[in-house]
Amino acid sequence: MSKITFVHPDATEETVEAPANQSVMRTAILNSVSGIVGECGGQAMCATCHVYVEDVEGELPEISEDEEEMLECTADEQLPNSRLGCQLSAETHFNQITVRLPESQV
Amino acid sequence: MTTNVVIIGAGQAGVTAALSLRDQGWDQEIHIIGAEGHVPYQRPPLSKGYLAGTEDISDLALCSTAALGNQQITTHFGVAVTQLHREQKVVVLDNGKRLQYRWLIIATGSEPRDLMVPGKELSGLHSVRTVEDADALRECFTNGGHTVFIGGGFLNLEVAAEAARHGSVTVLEVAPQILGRVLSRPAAEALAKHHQQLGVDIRCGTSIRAILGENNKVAAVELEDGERIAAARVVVSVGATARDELAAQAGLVTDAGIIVDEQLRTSDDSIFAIGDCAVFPSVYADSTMRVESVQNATDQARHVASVITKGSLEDYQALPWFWSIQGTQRVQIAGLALPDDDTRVVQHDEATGKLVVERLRDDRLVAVETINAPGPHMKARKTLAASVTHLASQVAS
Repeated sequence: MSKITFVHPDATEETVEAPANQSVMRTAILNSVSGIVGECGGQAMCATCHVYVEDVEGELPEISEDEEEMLECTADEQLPNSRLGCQLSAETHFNQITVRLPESQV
Repeated sequence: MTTNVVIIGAGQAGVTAALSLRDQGWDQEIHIIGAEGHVPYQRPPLSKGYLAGTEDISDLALCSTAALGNQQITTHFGVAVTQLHREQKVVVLDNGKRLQYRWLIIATGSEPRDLMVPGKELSGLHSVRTVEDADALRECFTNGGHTVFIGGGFLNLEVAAEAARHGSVTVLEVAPQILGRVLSRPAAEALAKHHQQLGVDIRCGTSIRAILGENNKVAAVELEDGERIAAARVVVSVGATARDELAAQAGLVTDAGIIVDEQLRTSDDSIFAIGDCAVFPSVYADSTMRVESVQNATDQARHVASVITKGSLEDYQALPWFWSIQGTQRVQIAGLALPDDDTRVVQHDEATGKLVVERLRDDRLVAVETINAPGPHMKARKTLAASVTHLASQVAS
């Protein structure tokens, strides 16, 4: 199990546990954390699971060319810590992560 | 008078509507009814990762039961609606329950169109709509043998690519090319080539006379010219039809789908229809249309949630976009092209399969089709959405 803390735009926080290999996007959906849409189901095709990584214990994968291109087109601005939540998996990439959610995804 | 919202259908549209209502501040009761007994799930992976076994049922879930409970959304799963009484604003369920509504959202989706040929009642005939359908195919693919696909659309071709990993495959398409109504010729040809490399035998311009059986089981497909193609199983996907029977029985206006206005309201002010089952006026098609896609389901769900919670008077005009995974090729469409729109290839890299095709109507960009090019797809969505807003404001002024 890894821990994911979601920080909403109004600064409220939710922390949930994620089993191995479950992505930040899937964890948000399954726990009805609002602010992550994930319309394509994790295929890196929709850019509606944009998060800002604030803190991480672990090693995140490098941003692929596809992910970079998607991040350039997110609804809210791309920052140096922008990632797609579908590309970050519990245990595989982190034991603990804190992500801030953008104002909008679509 | 009750203030309940009742949602019929627990697919992508119905579930998004329920969650969006809460997200947008609706604090009254929400009921969601789903005929399937499962936790609500996404259908796109049924013909992709789930079929291939790289995703399991938990990867498909649209939400968890606990999450719906936390949001105080009352679920009625494994239950069908038997009647809709519009005068009393009551929905009757097959477990005897009656639900009062102030607002009703119909999100009943679509179902595979029936193939009108002799032999369609034989066993060994498949289509993919539910988890059970995908499970059945997954199991029988492991037996090997020849699979014949009737219909060369996105869904069948996704399944065909998976079938080709287990045995030989033939795809029969009545039109002169696969994906002819939905993709430009260069994009369709690129995908046809990819399928051929996977070992999928695509035969266009082919009509079916009958499906032949032995001991009530599929044995072959007979073509119009009399040729017979032996088949261990047949997978049929020749389009889908809207599930609008309940709406029609209740006297709502339907015509191959439930007719709604710009705000997605049916002919009854208290009832909306969204997703695959709704026929709506599209600014992109300059006519009414029905769209089967995740984007359409979720954007329409969010739109109706804002009409109900905030009294929004805006028209629904979200940009259509779509994706498919064909073998290893990632196909995306932004915007909406009609078959007669012009085609301009702006990028084509044979090595990576990267393809970007613009579609134009009267020299105006109306859609962009991409293969293995998510960046250009995302940019196209921004450009196309901005140009429609611009057009709409010109009309308004």
